Amino acid sequence: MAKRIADKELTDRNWDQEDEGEEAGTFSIASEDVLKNRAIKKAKRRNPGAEGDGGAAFRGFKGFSAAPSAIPAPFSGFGKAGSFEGFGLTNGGSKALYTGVSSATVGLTFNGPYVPPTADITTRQTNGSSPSPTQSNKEYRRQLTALNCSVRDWITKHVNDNPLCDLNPIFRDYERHLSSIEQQHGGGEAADGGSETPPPSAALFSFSRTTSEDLAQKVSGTAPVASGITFNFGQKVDSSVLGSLRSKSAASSFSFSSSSQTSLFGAPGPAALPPFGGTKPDEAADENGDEESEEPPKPEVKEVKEDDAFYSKKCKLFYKKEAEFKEKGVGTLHLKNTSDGKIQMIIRADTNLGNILLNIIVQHSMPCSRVGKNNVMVVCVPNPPVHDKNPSGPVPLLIRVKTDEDADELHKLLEERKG
Amino acid sequence: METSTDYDELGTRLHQFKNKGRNATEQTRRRKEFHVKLRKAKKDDQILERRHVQTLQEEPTSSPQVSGLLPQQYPLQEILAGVNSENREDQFLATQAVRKILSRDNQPPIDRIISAGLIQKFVSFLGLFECPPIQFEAAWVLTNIASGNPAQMNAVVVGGGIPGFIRLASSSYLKIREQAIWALGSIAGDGPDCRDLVIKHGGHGFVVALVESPDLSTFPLAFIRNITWTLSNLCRHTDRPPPLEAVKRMLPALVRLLHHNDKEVLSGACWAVSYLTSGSNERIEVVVQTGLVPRLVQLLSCGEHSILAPALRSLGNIVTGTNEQTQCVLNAGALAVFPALLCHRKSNIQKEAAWAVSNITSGKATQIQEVIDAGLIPLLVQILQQADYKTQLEAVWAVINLTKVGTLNQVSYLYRCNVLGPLFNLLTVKDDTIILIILEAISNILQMAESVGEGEKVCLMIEKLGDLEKIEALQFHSNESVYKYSNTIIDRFFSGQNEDEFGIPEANPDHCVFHAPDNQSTFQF
Repeated sequence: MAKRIADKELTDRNWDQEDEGEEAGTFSIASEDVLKNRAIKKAKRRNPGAEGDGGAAFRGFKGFSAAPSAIPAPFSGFGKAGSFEGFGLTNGGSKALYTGVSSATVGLTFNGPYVPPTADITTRQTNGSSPSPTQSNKEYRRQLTALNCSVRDWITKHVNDNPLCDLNPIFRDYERHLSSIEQQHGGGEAADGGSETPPPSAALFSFSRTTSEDLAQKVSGTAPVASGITFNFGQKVDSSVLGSLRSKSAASSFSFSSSSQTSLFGAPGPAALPPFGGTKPDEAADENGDEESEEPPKPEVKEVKEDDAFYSKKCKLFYKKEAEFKEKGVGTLHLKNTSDGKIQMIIRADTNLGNILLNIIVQHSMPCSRVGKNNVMVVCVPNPPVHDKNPSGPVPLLIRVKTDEDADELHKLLEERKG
Repeated sequence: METSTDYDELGTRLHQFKNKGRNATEQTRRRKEFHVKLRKAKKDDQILERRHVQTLQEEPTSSPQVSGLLPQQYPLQEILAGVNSENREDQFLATQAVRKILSRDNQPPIDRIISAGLIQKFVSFLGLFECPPIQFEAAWVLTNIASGNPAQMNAVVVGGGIPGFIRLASSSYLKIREQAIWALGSIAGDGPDCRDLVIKHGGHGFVVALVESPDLSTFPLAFIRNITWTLSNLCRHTDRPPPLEAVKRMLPALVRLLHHNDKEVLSGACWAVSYLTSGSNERIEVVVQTGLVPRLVQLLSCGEHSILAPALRSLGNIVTGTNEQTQCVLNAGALAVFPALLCHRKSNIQKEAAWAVSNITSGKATQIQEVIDAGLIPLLVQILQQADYKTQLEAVWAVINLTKVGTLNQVSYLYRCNVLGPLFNLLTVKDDTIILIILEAISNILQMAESVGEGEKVCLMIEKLGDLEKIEALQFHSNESVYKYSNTIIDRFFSGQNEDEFGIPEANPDHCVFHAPDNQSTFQF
């Protein structure tokens, strides 16, 4: 039991005194030395469109202005346009995103019934000011672009998957969204932040599914959109379909919303969050192994090209230290022929620097085995070394690729070609 | 030992009369002196002839013309002669002369009187029941001396003043008993040692007997107020509380005074209760057993700030006790008054009320439910949004205690009252402890939500509020624990661990982004 006694004795002599106002103050930042050694995590955003509101509270925060080099890129970007490049947004999209984000303080969201801030994005203008006609047009163009891109991508994907699908529902949705954009931004009309309770469907655009059931109806919140506004495609929460997707996950929110139980943690107020199924960006690998199309777009990273590699595959490299495997990095594995007929295996990190994670000649004697679902294990003396303790000793390395087929392929290649 | 402000105040009461009406006790004192003076004047005429002592001051509030009275101007020799004579009359006059000298508001020569060895004499005069006027004057003199600095008070105590005063309980003169009560209250208020000495000699019995006397209602209001004041001094000094037996003896009298209708009496009684409840659960129990809690709750609504403050403090103290003691307060209907208290214009009252709520929400889920049913949660959220900082701290405690003790429904209710936003807003404060507590509360809410599969909703809400940046920013905090905790929260609730496109990772804690600005692609794993 955590009872707390009074901090100060109150008497008939001091009760009427005004308390020395204790100030809230602001917390202090660690020194650069300390920060250097800290692993700073970035929180995953489930909804890439909904960022920046909280920046307001930290905007005046001087602590970050000190050593710019010590601050990782993500944090310099509270409310400023263009600073979130690294965050998985579309190419060139990050700038546009932030001009659209409301700079309204967080406090505003609690003044009334809960209003999803994404509504703010769609209805408010830059800097929270009332939209002028020109800004309104800009917004209109942005929204329209976003809508068209979304539709294009959706249609592309689904027609590629099944050329026989019926696209009528999509066109109906398109019409619906288009008219709502027109309503809000078309013709220079001010779509004010006063719309505290936008119709729920306006908050996040959603498209009904086509009639062909076989499509893996993944709900994705992150179709690549130039303006950075999120358009969601996928059916409204359909328990049967979703159930098949998420059968392995007991703690999934889908299974909850598909039950008839009232949500305990739903948002209060009339503008409740849309059904959660409509918004969740599902990036997990599903049973079909088809996750390519629904993933968030990767950041634009200049990859160092490796010519004359006859085989290249994205992979993750682990090395064995003591009893467990530790990650060395993520990168692309290349297999090249050397002049003396051997195979060279190079794994380069997927960063702009392209640093080498592994660079070895595949020896005939190198043990190479298939492990687990999608791994290949080899044992060799790693170059560059992984331990300073024993730089010339052999170390088991685990190469993890995306699919089991890929692993099979890699394993086969290595076995065949190692000489 | 009491601080200088305390005996200064005592001095003020008796001597300075500067701040007119600064407190009613002050006025009481002045009135008393005036009345006594009148009475004395009559007695003088009866007893004495005219033999006036030179340099007598007729008025206690005498003008500064006699500031810095030179020693030779008062006839110390004459006083000594009078005091030491066998003649009651002379003794009386001498004592009265001293009383008048000491009653002036301007540097009364207390030390001169002490060093003349007169204290012993005056103490002995207290016992002259056959001559009440001398008793009265002597009591007055000694009271004045005891109201000086600690050394001066000590001189009176050492000289046997306490039992001397207590003996005056049997005087048939109300005024004399009142004077004695006053003196004892003054001495007891000095500090725990003096207080306990008064108790040891039975001083509390004297006070209690007065309160329990059937004549209580016939006493002048000033007297009742004096009694209350002395009683509260006998309860004061909570760091070394009075003996439990004495407390048990005083409580019934206190309860009786709690039902009086005078504001000052009520205020004094509530202060006494606030001191007595500010202790161990055993002490709280003794108070609660008297059944005075409902009366305290009643007094919360009396509209008088001087009563509200100590009554609220008393109840706040009681709910720091056991769950049962807390329940007593709830059963008396206290929470019905709390909406007004949590919105009170005085931030101190808001703070005390929020503090009380924080201790109630740390008790049992059923008690949390009573808090909820009283409609207090939205008010707490309001406080978190906007209030005096100290009040906000108490609200933070109330919230975190609820997240620890509350049921799923209660925690989710708290969440639906929009507590998250204002909580997050407080994550910028200087105090590391508060930040850690807020993070814990947020974490508790997230865990609760997760346990019913709604973690995603809350995470999304936090994201929509724009509060992820706040947690991320805390990783830069100078306090290592804050860094670790915020880091852990991100890892636990906001990381992409499950979404490794290569499958579920093996043993690896390192889904991190280090400071290398180029290392952006690792975000996704």
